[in-house]
Amino acid sequence: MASNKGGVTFALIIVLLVSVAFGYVLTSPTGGGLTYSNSPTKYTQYINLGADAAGWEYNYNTSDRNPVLNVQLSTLVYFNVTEEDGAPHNLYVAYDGSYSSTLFAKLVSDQKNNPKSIEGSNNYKVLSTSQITQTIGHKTQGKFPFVGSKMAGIYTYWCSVHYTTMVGLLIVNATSGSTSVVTPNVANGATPSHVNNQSTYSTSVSNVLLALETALKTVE
Amino acid sequence: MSTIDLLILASVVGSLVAILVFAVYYLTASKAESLSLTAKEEGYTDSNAYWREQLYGKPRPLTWSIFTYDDAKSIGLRYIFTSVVFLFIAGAFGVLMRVSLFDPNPVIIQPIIYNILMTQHATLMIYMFAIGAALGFGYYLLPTQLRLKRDNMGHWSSVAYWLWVLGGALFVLSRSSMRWYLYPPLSLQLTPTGAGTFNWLAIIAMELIFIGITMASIIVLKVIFIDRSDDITLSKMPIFAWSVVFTLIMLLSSDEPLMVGLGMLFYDFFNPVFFTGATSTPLTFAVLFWFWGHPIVYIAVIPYFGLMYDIITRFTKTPVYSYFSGVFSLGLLMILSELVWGHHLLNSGLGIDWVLFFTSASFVVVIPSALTIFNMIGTLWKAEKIRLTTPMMFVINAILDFIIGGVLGVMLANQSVNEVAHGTYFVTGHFHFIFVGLTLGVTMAVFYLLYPTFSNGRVYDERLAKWHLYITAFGSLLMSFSWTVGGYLGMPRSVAGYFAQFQPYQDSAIIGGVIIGIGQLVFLYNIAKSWLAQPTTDPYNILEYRTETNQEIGGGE
Repeated sequence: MASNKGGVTFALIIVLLVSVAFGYVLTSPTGGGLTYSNSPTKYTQYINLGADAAGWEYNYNTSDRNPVLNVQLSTLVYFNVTEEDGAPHNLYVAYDGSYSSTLFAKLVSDQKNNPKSIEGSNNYKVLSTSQITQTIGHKTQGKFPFVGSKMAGIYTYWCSVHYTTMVGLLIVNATSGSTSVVTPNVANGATPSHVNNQSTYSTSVSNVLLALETALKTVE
Repeated sequence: MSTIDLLILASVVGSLVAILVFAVYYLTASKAESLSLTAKEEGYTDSNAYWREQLYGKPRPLTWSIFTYDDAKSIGLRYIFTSVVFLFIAGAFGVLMRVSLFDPNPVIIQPIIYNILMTQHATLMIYMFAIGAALGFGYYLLPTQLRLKRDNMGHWSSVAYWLWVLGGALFVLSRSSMRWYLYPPLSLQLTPTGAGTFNWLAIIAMELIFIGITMASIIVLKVIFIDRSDDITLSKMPIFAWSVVFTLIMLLSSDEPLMVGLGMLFYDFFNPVFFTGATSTPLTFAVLFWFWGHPIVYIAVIPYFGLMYDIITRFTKTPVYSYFSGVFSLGLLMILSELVWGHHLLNSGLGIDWVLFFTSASFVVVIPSALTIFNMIGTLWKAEKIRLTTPMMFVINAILDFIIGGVLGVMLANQSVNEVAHGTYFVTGHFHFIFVGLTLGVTMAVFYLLYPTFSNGRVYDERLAKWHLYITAFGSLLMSFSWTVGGYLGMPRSVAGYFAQFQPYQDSAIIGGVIIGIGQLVFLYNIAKSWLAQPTTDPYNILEYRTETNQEIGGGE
């Protein structure tokens, strides 16, 4: 560099590094994440969950653990979470994919063992640990709007502190004309319908579907 | 891309990287061996000590050997040129951000990319450019200005340098979008829409940068206080040395809270107990951050004040108007900068008593700043003749920009103004006046001054350098001024879009930003072109050498 080419070398190094840095940063992943949308929603739905390290409870202090939650597309969902055991909890939601039986089966069979494998990094934190305070009985509310053309499908919700136990599925149904394999079609979007499938969780998909259908009939 | 394609690509890239790494290792190892053989012939067991003595006090041009020697000047050259590289990377990010705001809606680049660019621009500019250049000038100029008795911590300096570079590179690789504040809970969200999937890497990178600059600061302070020549008493040191002393004491006394905070933040990735848990708030981190975050913005200013004093005395051939008040005001800046951190959190709910304290303390900062500026103006006033060379004009531009930016800063630190202006481009305008005008401008001034030494006796093209100055000064003024006016009208900063009513301010800022970018390309072209010529002068510069006369001029009278 001591020769005449020193300045040129330096300039070339700068040009090279700037281009590499440019290319690297501009090709950053941008899609996939769950973003909070401010588009108007059609429905509102309240889901009451109890935060217990043994599992999410449907309503406060029940043994109804880790329910499959059904939500209609274009619904603003309010999660009312009540602290039950004084341990730190939070609530994440992540998109797993559109309806497909294989994915659903994978979710149901793998979820308990390795929830991290399907969560990926595309999650949204509905409630943080500091919002769900560790005061037993403290009730707090978080919300997420499932609105947009690509929002229908299967979601996971979980607590990142107790992800092996506190993890469940949330299914967002397209409004109509869905040709998907797993379509628990909830007619009344405003009504929270849920299936307590704790017993069928680790068995098979068909049981889950059966349970879903039963629940739907009850609702209808 | 299929798995097989991916494997083939990974093997090819991996092999190329391995070959490159081996080549670099081979070259450095064989160079080190030949150096140690030469040292052994001279009767030295430590080859580095031999070469440090051989290189001591001589003009040190830029060669690849700066990476194999670890004398203070080689370390200084590494810091200076690495920081210029990062200046260009971060500056290119900044220009791209500007251009992307051509449309009120984020259509040119996506908001996620914009956030990444913004984080990288801010962090690299502050940690890799401003601090790097300040440390570099300290390492490069002080050994000759203070005629060191010994130069014996080269290994440590080298380690500090590599940690700092590694931190900077990892920070770019992390593609973090958490902004330079690193606030949780955003920095804990490892998603593309949060802080970036690899934000944990950014936290590690920041910690590496901190370890690097802390080590280097301790060494430079040791150089100034212990190693300087016996006949240079404290009161005879150039003001630049004093400014480095104050800067580094400030750095060392305020970076520990954030280093600890970064460690706690890293724990929070696993189980959020420190900042987002039930018993704490993210404000805890904000306080830890700004306890360091305010001093750091002075670190980007105070050493450059010292350089401005030195450059002014060289080109006016006049002693500093008041050496004591110059040093005293820099010291006062150091103390006050540790007390005003809360003015970055005026709207965070600190309470009215704290807010009153921080607002008043921020107003007191006017005193040392004005002392410094009046001291410089007084020096210029007393001069019989001012040589308006490019470095001198950069310094005069820096004084102007600092006055504008400083006044805007004092306005901003006032709670009543802050309530309407915080989070707007007013803030961006305020600190870009100072950072572009002063930090960038003085770095360029010193770079031009040292160019004959860097290039072993070549001279830069004066005409191109003047153009560099004019373009940069005009672009900076246009960009920051548009931001300031638009910001006062409520234009929110740090977002990928804006309301169409702010189009005129954004558009003029875009023009200003692009103009600054063009100015730096002129600089790069000037460096490359002038280096191609044959050496026409001696490799000495007026900032380092003729220190005896400069002591008389610059030091106590």
